[in-house]
Amino acid sequence: MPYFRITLLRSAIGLPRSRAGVLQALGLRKRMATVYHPVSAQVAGQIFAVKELVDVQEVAEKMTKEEMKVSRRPDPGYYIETRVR
Amino acid sequence: MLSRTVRRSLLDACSVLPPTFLLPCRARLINTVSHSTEADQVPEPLLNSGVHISPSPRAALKSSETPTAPSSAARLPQPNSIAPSQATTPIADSVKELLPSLRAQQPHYITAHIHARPYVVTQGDIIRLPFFMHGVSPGDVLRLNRASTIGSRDYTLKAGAVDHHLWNGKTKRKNGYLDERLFVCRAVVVGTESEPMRFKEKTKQRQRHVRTVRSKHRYTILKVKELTIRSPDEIEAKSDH
Amino acid sequence: MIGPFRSTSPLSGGLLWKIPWRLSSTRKARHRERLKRVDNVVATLDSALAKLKPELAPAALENKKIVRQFREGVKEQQRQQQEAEAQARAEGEDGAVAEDAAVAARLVRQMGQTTKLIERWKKEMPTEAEMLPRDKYTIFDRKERKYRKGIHKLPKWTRVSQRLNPPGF
Repeated sequence: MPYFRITLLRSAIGLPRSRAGVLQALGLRKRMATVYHPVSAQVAGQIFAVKELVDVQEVAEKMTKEEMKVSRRPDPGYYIETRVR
Repeated sequence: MLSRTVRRSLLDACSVLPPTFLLPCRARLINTVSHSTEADQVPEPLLNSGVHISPSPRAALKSSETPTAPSSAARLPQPNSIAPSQATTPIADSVKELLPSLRAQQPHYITAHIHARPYVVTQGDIIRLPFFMHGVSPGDVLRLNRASTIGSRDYTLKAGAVDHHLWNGKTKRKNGYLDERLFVCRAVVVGTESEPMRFKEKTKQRQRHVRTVRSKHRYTILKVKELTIRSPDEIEAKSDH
Repeated sequence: MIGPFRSTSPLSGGLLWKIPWRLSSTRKARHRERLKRVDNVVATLDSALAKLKPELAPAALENKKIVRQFREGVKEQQRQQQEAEAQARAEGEDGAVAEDAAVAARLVRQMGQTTKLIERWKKEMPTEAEMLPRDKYTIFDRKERKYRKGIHKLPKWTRVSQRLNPPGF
């Protein structure tokens, strides 16, 4: 099931109230927050209303906050071969 | 006028001097380092004379230049710190062909990446990590399996670039890692080091209270015990099972 | 007069906003980036909806009206296609290829979903690459001498889509 991955890049401060309302409906509370919504015409319309403020990508799977954090973490670059007891 | 002649004489003196690798400070290295480029015969270091000055051609085994190379720099599966990842992609032919030349010329250096930070080290080096490594104790042997470069005096094996997907959907070309089957790099946890205690006075506005914060960080020390480059046969044998 | 209370132009003349009359090249570059980002968002929405099959859509969309409209739309497209083919045969080979491509694109779009908003945007709004520099960096203003002022004079100009100007100005 495809999802829209929506990230809020610009705040709606100073813009008409409706924009802030759309962001709240999408679940975007602060800048750089990321939410996933299934691809549908309604969500597309919501994103379209705030298209200047967000970044959108179409992804196949939804990721939780923890998974996104793990995906950003770099490779440790080592593993423990032998341990001293 | 005088200054010009002086300068010229200095320049002349410079040009008269032997190349840098013959200077006394470098001579010690030359006595022990083999500059042979032949793949099959590796002369004993001690048999090498100190005035072996036939400069071998500067060759770079850049795997990124060959179209089939990305296998050696392919996006490796994410290993956890306990189990290593197993890369299954075949090694590029150009790498197989030129790896013996690099292997023959000792000593080697490696750019190992620990938590994405590069450390250029050679065998016997001591690394003081800028952090305290959790879950290890002195004597543990770590296998460093992410490297962007392996090289010797004349050869460099560099990892090709890979597309790094950024959060905003853009891609950025970024240096990848070499295939971990190509080399063996082991480091031993030697111990920890700690900095002297630091005191910092924290104050707030319109308040006479002064808070003192103390900090004393510990740093893990590693020693590179082994750095070897595997021969193509060994790599084949490893990838078989 | 020297000192903290010297008469300067903002003090003596009341309100004086120090907005430069034109954008610097770096501000223009950032502005282009923003325009491209908006184009990118719209393209992503459009392609994602086009891929979405009506039967896979959420239940709220699957009302009978939409299904009927969809079926009618397909029939309409087929009829148009037949007409276009007939027309293209009359016109010649080159026209046929272009017409077929257009019809195919329309059919593909019909297979998926879309919204009126996006269709309208695509029809009316030029993309960043299609815009003239004049429209990118300036907007129409009836009070200006040459009917143009910098786009950065528009309130909240970095967060609104202002791409069209009255024709002829």
